[in-house]
Amino acid sequence: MGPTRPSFLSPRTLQRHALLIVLGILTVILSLSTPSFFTSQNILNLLDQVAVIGVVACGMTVVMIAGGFDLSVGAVVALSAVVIAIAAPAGGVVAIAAGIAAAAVVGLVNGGLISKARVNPFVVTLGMMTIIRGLSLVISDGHSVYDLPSWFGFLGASDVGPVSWGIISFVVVAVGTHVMLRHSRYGRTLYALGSNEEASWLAGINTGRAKTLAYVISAALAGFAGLILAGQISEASPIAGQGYELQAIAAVIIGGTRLGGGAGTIIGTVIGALMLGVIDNGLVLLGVAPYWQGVVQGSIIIAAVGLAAYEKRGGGA
Amino acid sequence: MVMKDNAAPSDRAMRGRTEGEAPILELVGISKAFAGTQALSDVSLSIRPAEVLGLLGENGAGKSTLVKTLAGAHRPDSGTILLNGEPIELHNPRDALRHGISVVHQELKLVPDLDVAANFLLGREPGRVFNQMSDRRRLYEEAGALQQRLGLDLPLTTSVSALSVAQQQLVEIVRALSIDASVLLLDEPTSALSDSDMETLFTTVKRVRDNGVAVVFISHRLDEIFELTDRVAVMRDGRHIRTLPTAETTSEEVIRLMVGREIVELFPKTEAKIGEPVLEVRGLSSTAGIEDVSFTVHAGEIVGLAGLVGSGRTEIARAIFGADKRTAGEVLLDGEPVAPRTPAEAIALGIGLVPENRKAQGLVHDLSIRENLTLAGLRKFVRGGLISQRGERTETRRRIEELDIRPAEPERGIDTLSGGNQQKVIIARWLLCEPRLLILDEPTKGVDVGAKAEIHRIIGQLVARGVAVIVISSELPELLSVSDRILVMRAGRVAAELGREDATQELVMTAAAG
Repeated sequence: MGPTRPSFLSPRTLQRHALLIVLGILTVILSLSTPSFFTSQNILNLLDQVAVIGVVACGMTVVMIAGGFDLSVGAVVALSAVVIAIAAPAGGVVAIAAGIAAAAVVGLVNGGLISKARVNPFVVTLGMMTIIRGLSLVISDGHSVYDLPSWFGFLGASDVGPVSWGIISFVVVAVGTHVMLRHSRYGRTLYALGSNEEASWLAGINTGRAKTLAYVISAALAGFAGLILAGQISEASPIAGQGYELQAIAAVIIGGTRLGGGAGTIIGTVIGALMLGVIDNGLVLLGVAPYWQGVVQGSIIIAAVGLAAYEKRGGGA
Repeated sequence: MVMKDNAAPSDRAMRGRTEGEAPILELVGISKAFAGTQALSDVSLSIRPAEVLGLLGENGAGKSTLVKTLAGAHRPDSGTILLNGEPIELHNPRDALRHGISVVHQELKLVPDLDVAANFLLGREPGRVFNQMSDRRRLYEEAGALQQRLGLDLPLTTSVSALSVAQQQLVEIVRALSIDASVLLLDEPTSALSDSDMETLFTTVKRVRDNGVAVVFISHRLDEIFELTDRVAVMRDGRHIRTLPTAETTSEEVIRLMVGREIVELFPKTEAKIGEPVLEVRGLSSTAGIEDVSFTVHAGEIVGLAGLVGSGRTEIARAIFGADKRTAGEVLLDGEPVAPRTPAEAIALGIGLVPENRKAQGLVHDLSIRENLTLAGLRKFVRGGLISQRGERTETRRRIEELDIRPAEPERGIDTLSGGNQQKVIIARWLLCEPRLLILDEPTKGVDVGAKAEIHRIIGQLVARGVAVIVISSELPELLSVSDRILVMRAGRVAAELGREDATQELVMTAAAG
């Protein structure tokens, strides 16, 4: 690490650009090797898929920057979709509000147990994941709801020009969480909390409330993602969103958010989610058996975390 | 075999003058650079058996790098290390241990849940059945013999987490010596100790020396250096400036060598006008163990809290600041009764606390200087729900300049700063909140001489503006010179209250020890 190295190649910027560069290279390779990849139809499909995970991942970023972890989001995706479908006869606005509110309550319970009762976030949200999945099955009696009113498909299936409302929602959520994290006092609080909780508390931050709110945000965004997903597939399923928690965490980690908190960006998370989407899509187009998707995804997560650890060691010398 | 039981300790009187003895460890022209910074340049230094060599220097002078080089954690870019006249290469900490060079680092590296004996012999527990079964009886025998040689009597079967910091430090030293070390490096072992604990440590270190071990003792505190060492080596800007026999030098000379200039008075006291009472504490007790504490702090006054570690000094601060639960008594601020339940409420009332443990309680490590500086007062910059970047940046720059924080780069990570500059950022964090009462708990712990003088200057400016200040310190000379009044704590209660004119080290120590 000589002093002559230009500053734009500093480890931090390099990592952010490295992600973009890898994403660019992948896109170019796929565009050249499969004629169907770089078509507007395919790209929009890909973005639709990324939108749901992306919204969940934005909430996950908030929790993880604060030093937490939320495994319950996948189940919350299903819970909110089922609640909205069942409450649908009461009208669109009421039903959607009920679904998101149900999701937010899950976040409130998560946050309360973690910050007040001081139970480990992994344990709390793992337990909550199975509880919520079970509850979704209970209230839907185990069946998917198919006969959804027309407004249900609005976010998932209707478009503005060529772009779906799902994609636009993702962009709005990403911009919103980015502004909150980088420019609001609450955002600064989250970074401080994830880096040193005791110092934050002694500097006058209400750490319990800040932490709880992070879980509420994460759950509410998962609920919102449930609405988009149900619209896309025209089905409110109690078993939807399985494994979304891990995909969201993968996107967040690939995007450079520190495990344990204190550092991370929404921009990174968005790139991480896009990367996972492009790889899944590319593997399908290349005719690779879908079984390989997990193998590739896992390898990328380990590589991303390994790279971050390597850079940290190099930078610390 | 770990112990040589018949290794008779050589008598201090018999070991002769150290000047004549051949060095056990010699550094010849050691240089080391990191990312463009020359941490060590051409350092030559010799360390002799049966002596304590003090290593002094401001933060960033290269002491830690030197210790890490000797411990095998850094490899020098150039230069030679000679052990008993033979050149050796230290590729990793294990190499250093193999050559009998043992280090006690600033951060203790004990296993808290194991008992004292197991920590003494960690990684080298005596075993049987192909060394796979632990042999408890031999473990305690060997552990007992080890500490006996140093005249210690630590409870072998107690888990380390139940010991005081001072006792833990002693465990580290015993462990470091258990490999039959001939060179022992102590990196600021006293920074967390109170005066009486230090006596035990010093007695132990002297005994280690009298056993023939070469001890390198790193400290910021001159009184310790003069009490304990035989020679003192001064470093500045990565260079070895001079080594002097301790008996033939003075603290003035050593300070001059360290900073490269004269500091006229180490703890200058600025006179401030003492006004109305700001803080009145009446019969305060807390869950953390303080009992029936009463005192008053006036505007423009500095009240010092003295006492041993664990005597309740920090706990008073925490009870007032809403960090510990109060169980009895009342707190008045500007004559009004207040009862903050959290630090946030205390801050809203105009109270600030620079906490005792900078790393664990003060610094937010992943954030920048700016973000650390504005953490408690961020509310000031919020416009329409968002932080005004311009406002925050302008104010940060102003504070960096006011407190002479170096480097003056607001976006730099806080962890890259020296201890003194980190502490200035924490103090700036509270200045930004414009408190009525500022409590500083060990504000100059682990801070170099220059930064210490500056922190005293900042405290002086605060009281000149009419702020009430409480300073907690384990360093008596500092407390005596800074405070207008001193409260001595003992076992959670105020044992004595001494005016500036009457307070002496002896009086304070007598009251503190009871």
